[in-house]
Amino acid sequence: MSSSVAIAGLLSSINPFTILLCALGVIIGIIFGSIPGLTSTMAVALCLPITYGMGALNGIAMLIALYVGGTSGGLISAILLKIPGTPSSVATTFDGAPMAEHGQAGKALGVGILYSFLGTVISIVALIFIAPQLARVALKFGPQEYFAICLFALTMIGSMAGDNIWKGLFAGIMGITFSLFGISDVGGIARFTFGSASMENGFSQLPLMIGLFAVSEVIMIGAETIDPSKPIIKDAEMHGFGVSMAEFKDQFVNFIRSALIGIGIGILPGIGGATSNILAYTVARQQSKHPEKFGTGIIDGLIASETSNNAAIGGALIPMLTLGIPGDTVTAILLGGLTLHGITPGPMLFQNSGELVYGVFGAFIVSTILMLIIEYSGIKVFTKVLAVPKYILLPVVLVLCIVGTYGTNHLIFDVWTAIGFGILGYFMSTHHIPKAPMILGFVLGGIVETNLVRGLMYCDGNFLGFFKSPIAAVFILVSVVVVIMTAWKEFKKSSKAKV
Amino acid sequence: MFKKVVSLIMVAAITASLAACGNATKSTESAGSNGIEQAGASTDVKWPKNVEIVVPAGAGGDTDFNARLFADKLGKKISGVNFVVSNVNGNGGATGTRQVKNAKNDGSSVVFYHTALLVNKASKATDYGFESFEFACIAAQNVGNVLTIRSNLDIKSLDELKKYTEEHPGELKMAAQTGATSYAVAMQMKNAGFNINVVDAGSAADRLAAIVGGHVDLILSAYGSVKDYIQQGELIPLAMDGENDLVVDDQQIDVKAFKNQGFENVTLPFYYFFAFPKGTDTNLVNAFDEAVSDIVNNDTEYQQKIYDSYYQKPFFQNAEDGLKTYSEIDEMLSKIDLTGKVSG
Amino acid sequence: MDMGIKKRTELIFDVVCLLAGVVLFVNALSIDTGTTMGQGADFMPKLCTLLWIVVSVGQLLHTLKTEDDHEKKLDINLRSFFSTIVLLLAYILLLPILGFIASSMVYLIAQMLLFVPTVYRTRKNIILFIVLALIVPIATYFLFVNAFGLLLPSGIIFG
Repeated sequence: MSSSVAIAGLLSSINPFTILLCALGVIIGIIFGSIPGLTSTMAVALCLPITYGMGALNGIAMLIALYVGGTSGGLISAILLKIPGTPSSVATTFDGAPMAEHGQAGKALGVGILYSFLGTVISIVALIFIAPQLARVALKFGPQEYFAICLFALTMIGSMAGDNIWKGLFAGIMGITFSLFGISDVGGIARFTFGSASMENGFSQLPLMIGLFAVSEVIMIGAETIDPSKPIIKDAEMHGFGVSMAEFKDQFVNFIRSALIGIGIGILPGIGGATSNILAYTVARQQSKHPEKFGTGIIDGLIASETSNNAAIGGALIPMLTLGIPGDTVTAILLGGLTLHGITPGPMLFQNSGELVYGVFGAFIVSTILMLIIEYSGIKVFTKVLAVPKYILLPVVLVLCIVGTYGTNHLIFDVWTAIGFGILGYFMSTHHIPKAPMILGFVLGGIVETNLVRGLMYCDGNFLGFFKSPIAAVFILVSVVVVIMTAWKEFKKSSKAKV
Repeated sequence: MFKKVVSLIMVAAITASLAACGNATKSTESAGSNGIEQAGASTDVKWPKNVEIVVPAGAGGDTDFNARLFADKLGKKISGVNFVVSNVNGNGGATGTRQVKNAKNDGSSVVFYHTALLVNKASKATDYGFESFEFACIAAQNVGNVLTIRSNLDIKSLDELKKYTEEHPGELKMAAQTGATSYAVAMQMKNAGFNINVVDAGSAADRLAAIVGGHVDLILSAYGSVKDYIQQGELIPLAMDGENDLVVDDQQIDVKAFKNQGFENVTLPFYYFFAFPKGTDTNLVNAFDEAVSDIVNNDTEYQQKIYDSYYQKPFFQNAEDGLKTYSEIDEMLSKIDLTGKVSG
Repeated sequence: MDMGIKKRTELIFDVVCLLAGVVLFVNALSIDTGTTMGQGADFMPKLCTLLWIVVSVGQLLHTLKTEDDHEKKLDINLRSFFSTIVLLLAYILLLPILGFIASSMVYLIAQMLLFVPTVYRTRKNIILFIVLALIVPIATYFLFVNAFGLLLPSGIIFG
């Protein structure tokens, strides 16, 4: 395909109406992203019908803008409220919130926004230049590889998070087990429903997350013996984007690595930003020279999380645009949107509709830049939220959370799920059981089961067959090694303490 | 100064977006497109403000596409009602159909699915059929799925495939979704003498990923989804599993049906239907049927879209005829052995 | 036994986790295989609940080995803790009955009054609470239901 088509395509997105639509999309996306319980998937699904009347390019441009805004918007509530706005910003709460508590909210927001932007840019580069090849490689990952990668992610995070490996692993196991509740995908049998019809659908991801983070926070405030004389922390001054040149250079490796993790996870159909942010954070911590500082309020973890979740957007678009296979739920809706406009993505999309595809890339770039501008201009407003006392803020946030909790499936059961997990989340906090492994376990539980079962089917029931695949073998072995080494390290630590 | 301008633009943008969204949810314009007349009975039916069309399949596929197209058209046709699609996939579609079966019967939920509901029942993934719903109508007909094979296996026809599987029993892997239509057809093929190894590979998108990634050798899918791969030569179409051949002259498509290649017992008619929870007001269901029938038979834009994407021709059957059609399919399915493990 | 309250609650928690695992494991034993082409629906539940038990035992042993601070006081405001939970439960119970707007109004005013430290319980603040409790649910409803087409629980008040 000639470069003139590419250039024509890119330029076609630079017109006032498309830019306005992208701005609209980014703003609505940020609203959905920043309110816990509402996600970019919801925003895209709700706005899809509006795009029917627009041309193909404008329609897809708006949807992509919603996606970009929605993924990035999660960092706002993650940093200011310690509640992730979307599952893609869970890891942002780990260091972003402590930074806000120490008066560095502006810096945290600035860093988060900047690296959201940079992460998206890298994934756009990958999308434009190496998309087809990358996609093909990704598809070589079959059930054995998927299982191995998920196992790796879970064991890594289970062992890394929290103060002792048992708690981390326990959280992970809880998460996976909870994901099994309900009528199973494998075999269609009711599991752990305890005879109740409402349990048949199992627990939904959003109510669980809202419960673990938002409701538990409300309960914590209730249990807290608030000292009314403690001053509300004022925000410190922030220069530029909140990151100095020295810091930028320091964090460069972290940034690139997190972006690659984001793109890689995004490309794999079925796994997306919700997994990549936690994984990138954990890897950053593992590779860091000062892992003990993670969780106290340093920018490393924040950068890892926000870079990877936005990089996953470009990653997820790659298989969708090059092979017609969606990388995640949002790109699945985008695929439907394209079909409704008369375009069926597949390997010939670039040839048949090259100008449109490059127009989409252009809109993607435009949306990313708009996201940077809009969010950055809003930082002063966002930080004002911190001035609102917790006794007003949290109840209001909780009411807003109900919208997303109920909005997914329109089931009151989901709201009960949130309360239940809120209580569980409270006890997890007081007993120092980390939440990240539980969320990841829940998100990946279904994928682990499906791929384990499918992989076994391909190997005629023999698990050793998994090791025939080099990628799968490596990840499984690394998982086992990580668990053993971490347990050993802790055992040595505790026996040293006894002496 | 710059910041002020930005915030002004933001405020304007937000107001504009809210206005736009608000208009989208209230279909205030009458169905002026293509000169369709308003369905008369809808004026004395009490419609809920929002109707959820549950699609027991993933977003982006053929079922989802048909449903969203209907959601759009119905929203314009029945004024004051907002039709929203929600995807509830899992279990070969059982999760979604079960949700609507148990939903409130005030017209706020309707399921849009296809023959797979009967396959779910036949393979014991569910224990209910159409009698547990207030069946509305058959709204569209799928031309059938195309059986494609990876081109590097050098098998170019159905007969060659049969011969190969006889000589190499259980070697070729065919992807199917347990409990759904692809599964039923795969079983039919096995019964017809194709000695293939049927493996579960999930939804349509997952199956496509599996074959492109080289993990399976054969899949059934909507022609539209693999159009490009066939054109490029990466996948070779062997047969259609529906009633008819698929012939599209201006795109050089000519694939014969199984039954027209000597395999009369490999066929699964594929119709899409709408069904409400049992006990829904029959006036509402009738008004709904009238609206759908009008769209299918008279809306040329609808007809063009379904043809361009999936080569579908408009097809409508009301509740009575639709249920009759489906009971014939039910009969056919009962003759296939669908339960039990399948080994190589 | 001169065990600090922290360690004691930790042990209780660990035991509860272990018991939960056992309950779930027993429940998993009764799960059918179902319609499947490979491992059945009972595979993962049995595997995971088994792992759950193993890990919670490890957790319990670890807690037993940890140091005891012998503190006797629990740093928690029990009255407010239980009241918050009761309020949350009441809110959800009310949602399908009164609908989103009314239930949220009731919840907001109650929760804010509960949370506010006595020092800030001024007349000005209470008026602020009432205003917020009235505006937030209505604004939320209009933004998300009318503009975006989401669904929220509807009840007898406000529909």
